[in-house]
Amino acid sequence: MADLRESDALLMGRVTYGLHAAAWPSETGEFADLMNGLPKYVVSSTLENVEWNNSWLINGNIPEEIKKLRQEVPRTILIDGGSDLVNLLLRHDLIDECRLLVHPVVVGQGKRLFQEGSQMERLKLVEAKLFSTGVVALIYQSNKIAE
Amino acid sequence: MGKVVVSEFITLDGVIEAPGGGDSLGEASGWSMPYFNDETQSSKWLICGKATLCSWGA
Repeated sequence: MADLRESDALLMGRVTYGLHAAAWPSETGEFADLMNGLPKYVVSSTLENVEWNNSWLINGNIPEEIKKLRQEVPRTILIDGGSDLVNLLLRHDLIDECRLLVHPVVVGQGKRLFQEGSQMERLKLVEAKLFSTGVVALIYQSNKIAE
Repeated sequence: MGKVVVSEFITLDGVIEAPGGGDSLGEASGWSMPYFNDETQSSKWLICGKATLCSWGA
């Protein structure tokens, strides 16, 4: 929840938007209120409009739009899911921080966080925590960010 | 100036798909669920409710 409470905006792709927009408007509670209330930026070249409360469409030059957004907000823009969106931003050096909950399991299939060709150089580990389940939480900061 | 943050459940082999359920990975779907407890739920690391979202297919 802290992730959301300290965020100024959520950033998501079309698929994640579709799942959220179908579910949250009818939900109540603190998490639902945050989800429904926060500004949401939806990256899509095919959607023509977004109807979920406080949602905004981003298309055209996506990296430039994200750069602008980053300058406008005081705190955090949280990316919600979307391997393709994450990797687009990685290729433009537009990811400031990675928070990973590493699970002790190998599934051998499925979409990976880092796609072929994506790079993050000189990461700085700023926090690490081991949970009793064997899950390890890691926070990495990037030292190479686009201006 | 804000920062862009990515927050993910991830496996040792780097997979972020279907952590909470769905069926896109067959029997491997929902791989995070055995590890989901109060400890992770209450931590600042988690987008609370994410597992619920994921069980809807995210």
